[in-house]
Amino acid sequence: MKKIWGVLLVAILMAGLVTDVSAQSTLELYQSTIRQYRTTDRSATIAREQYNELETLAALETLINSSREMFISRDQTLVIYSDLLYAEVAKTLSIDPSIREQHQVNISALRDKFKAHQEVSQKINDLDSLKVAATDFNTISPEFKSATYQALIIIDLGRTKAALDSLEVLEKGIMAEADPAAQRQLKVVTDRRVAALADLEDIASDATKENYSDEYQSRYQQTVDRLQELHGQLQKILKLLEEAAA
Amino acid sequence: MIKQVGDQTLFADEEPLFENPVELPVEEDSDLFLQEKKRKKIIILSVSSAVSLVIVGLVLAFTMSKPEEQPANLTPEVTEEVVESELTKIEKLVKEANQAVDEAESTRDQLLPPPVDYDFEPLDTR
Repeated sequence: MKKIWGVLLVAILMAGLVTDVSAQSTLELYQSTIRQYRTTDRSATIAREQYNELETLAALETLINSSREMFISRDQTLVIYSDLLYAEVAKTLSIDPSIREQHQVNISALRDKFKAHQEVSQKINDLDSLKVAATDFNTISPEFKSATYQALIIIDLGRTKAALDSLEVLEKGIMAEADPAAQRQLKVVTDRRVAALADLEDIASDATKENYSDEYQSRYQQTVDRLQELHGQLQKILKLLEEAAA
Repeated sequence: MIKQVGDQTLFADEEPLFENPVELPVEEDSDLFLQEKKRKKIIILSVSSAVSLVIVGLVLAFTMSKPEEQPANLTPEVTEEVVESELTKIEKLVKEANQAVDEAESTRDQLLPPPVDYDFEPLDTR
């Protein structure tokens, strides 16, 4: 029986390790794929400029081939990016599970659409099929941007909440060892952390409310700006706690 | 009486050493001896009791002093271990908090989406 538990424990630990390694390799894969995509994008842009200028059949053929390469590469990049985003959303354990799962469902649906679009891209062989593929992609694009920036907001909020949780655990650890005088000093840190938590809840409320006039991209940028200020506060709290622990 | 026999001077065989030899009071001596024996017994008993008391006292003193010595010797070690383990725990928490605060800010750029816009206007005008 002990052996079975031992094997199970090793399996669980290995699964955790594999998940981390997998997330890391997805990021590396995304970085290498996006480099490739940028190269194909440059080639397609040059081909389009040449075709607009020369209007020759050779220029058109170059445009079709380079655009097909770029479309396939972009779809592939977005499939990998969806995997990366899905994994990062899964890590935001401090976020309400139902919200997290909803974002994961949205990202999975987008991934399937990019995968399907990759097949459309592979069939580009003339100007018409190129336009069809481009129009098809443009129907997914707004949905992609919206879902992506919403997910990025959740990831950012989740990471900040995780940082605040870590500070709380550290604060309690130090508090347990501190003498009454030091405990009174630590009360200042507690007040600051509680204030930071209230700020985060305020930011989260603004970032996730339904009726919002701005696009998600600008909402994300506003959220990031406010979170950066909050992270400055967290750094100060961390410094105070490090001094108390020393 | 001494009599001369040849070259030798001899005591007369039957000459008593004392004219009236003192008869030792045998019964009276036995009482004294018993008293002496009793006295010695009492002294031995007293000494052994005193020694026993001293030994018991020493043993008690040693036993009583032992619990005091134990914490005196062990407390610093135990405290050191506890303090060390608490420090390790706090160091671990500091590290985790540092990591969490860094992660909240550092990898944001890596997660930004790729540019997906593709301008088809020149092609559409054809």
